[in-house]
Amino acid sequence: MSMLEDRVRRALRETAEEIAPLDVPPLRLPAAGGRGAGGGLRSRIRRPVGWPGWLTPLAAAATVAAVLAATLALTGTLFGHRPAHRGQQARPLPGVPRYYVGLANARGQRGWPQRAVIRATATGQIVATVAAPRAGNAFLMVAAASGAGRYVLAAQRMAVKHERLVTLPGLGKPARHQRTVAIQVPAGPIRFYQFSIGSSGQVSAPRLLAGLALPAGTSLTGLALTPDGRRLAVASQPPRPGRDPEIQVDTLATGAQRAWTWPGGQPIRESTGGTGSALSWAADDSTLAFQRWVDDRFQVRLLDTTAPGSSLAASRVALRLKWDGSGNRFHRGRAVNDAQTFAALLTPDGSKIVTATDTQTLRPASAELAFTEFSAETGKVVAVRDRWRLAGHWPEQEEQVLWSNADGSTLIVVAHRRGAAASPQGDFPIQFGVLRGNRYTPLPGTPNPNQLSVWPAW
Amino acid sequence: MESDAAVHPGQPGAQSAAPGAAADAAVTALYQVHALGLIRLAYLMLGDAAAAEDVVQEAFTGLYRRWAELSDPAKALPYVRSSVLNASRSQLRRLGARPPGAGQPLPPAVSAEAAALSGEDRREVLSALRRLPGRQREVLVLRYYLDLPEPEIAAVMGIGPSTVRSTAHRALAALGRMLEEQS
Repeated sequence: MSMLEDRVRRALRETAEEIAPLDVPPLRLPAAGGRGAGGGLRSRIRRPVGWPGWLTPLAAAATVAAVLAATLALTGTLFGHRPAHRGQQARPLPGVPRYYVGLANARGQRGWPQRAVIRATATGQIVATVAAPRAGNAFLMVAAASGAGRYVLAAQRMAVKHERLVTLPGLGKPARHQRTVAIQVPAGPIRFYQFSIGSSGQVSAPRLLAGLALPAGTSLTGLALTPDGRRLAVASQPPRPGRDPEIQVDTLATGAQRAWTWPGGQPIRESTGGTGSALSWAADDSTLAFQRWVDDRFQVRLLDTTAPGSSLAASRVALRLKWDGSGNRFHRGRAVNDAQTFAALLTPDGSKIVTATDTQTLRPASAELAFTEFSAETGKVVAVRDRWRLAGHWPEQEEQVLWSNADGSTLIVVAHRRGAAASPQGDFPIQFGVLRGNRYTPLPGTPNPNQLSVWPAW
Repeated sequence: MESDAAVHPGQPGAQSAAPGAAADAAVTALYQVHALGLIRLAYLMLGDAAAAEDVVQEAFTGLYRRWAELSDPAKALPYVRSSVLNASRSQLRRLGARPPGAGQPLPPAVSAEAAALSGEDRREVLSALRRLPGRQREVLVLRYYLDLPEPEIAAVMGIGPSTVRSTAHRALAALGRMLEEQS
């Protein structure tokens, strides 16, 4: 618990206590069952068609217990496909992958995603869906090598953990009793499954990568396929503190594996809590870019996976970005590259690192969000694209690079929706789109990015 | 023994019944236990005690109306909590709250009198909290006031667990930055 967290907790609790127990007014229920003046209300209440057995408030959920019950029910379907829109071949968008794979909850469920949904980039139409396997009833991440039509899903079994959460008075009895709800906890190794998508959208049966698994308790922090789909990089953090972060590279055709660790090193991960990838490959199949935090800086490092050795420290720093999110400093009056929403990708030609940047100044208070290209050789800025200047500071506003073509000239990004006003909560809506040079084109039919816990993979 | 209606509120027989005595008793009991905490939650979101009371009242009324369809009483509290958050958002929207940086004064977190009586540190933290975007503020309130674990916060807010983490992370970062700015 940091000092800042202590301050927040204390301030909230002290403020909440301004409402004293005696301030609570009595409950005024509408009359029911013919009792009271409000009896007419019942006739105006209609149950929505298809209202589920458990309640679903407008924008929120029921308990996680319901999530789990439904999730477990799904596991009877081992990688079932649901083809959709057969015969409709949308014209692909030039210069970007034809399909992408997103992770989503099955209808009416929450928690970790239970489905992989394959969509056409040009239209957003669902081509197929893949249900989580029995051995791992939740999907954690997806990696894509769209040029080769190859994809890898990471899945893990989530189990029910009961916790005493709700204390209800005994219904009809004076004595109280407690109810429990369940939350999801990892309960098995993380396994990896490979599948492919043909040029006309046919999806192969996912295949377990038998030689590759991470023990239960390990955190998966990055997943990336080489552009040709032949090698898979997996970044992980062992369960116990003090254990070293690791990157493992698996050659899928042969099962050959190599692993690198960073003794005493910081976790390999991107900054936004796991929604983006901390890993990316050059098309040479040997240069792997990975991200890590070092104090208040982000590093993007390049690892030559063909060189001898097993230490990640042997990698080369390609880019350092100041992370101003610690709250300890503010860059008064001058522009900085601030990694607020930071998932950096190495372009397949290995020449650049592309990432969303948030540059803020104090006086005048302003922010500029953009997509910035850095030289992978020198770390210097090569180009700043799609600049978006805002008055004031916008610490939450999110933009991300999700895919890059060979030289970074075309990107698939999450960016602000053009022309949209900020919500009352102060953030602008975001959407998926294609950025060619400075020209941004939204992608149709994509899921709402705000509803996703993991970004899709192209 | 509990009454049948209370133990099996999601059964077909219960669904066909309108809110009645069992719903009255159950919802009232739930209110007695949790109203204070929920009003405080809404107060932290809205900064207005009367509005907070209204929001909680509405949430319990909604629960009461749908009680017959609640399959498990344990789901009642998360439902009401979500309703309170949703209603607080709507209330802020109706009040026309605008983002910080748009040139308008910020809505007060607490009354002037209360602020004067409170410590300076608390005032600063609250002021910074009020300047956060709504989602960030909600995550911090749920995490540091209600002490909810991440999966619970995700369920209540209808977002993914990793979004909870990233939102909390960025909220703390932004908060720290604002506090640094103020000092």
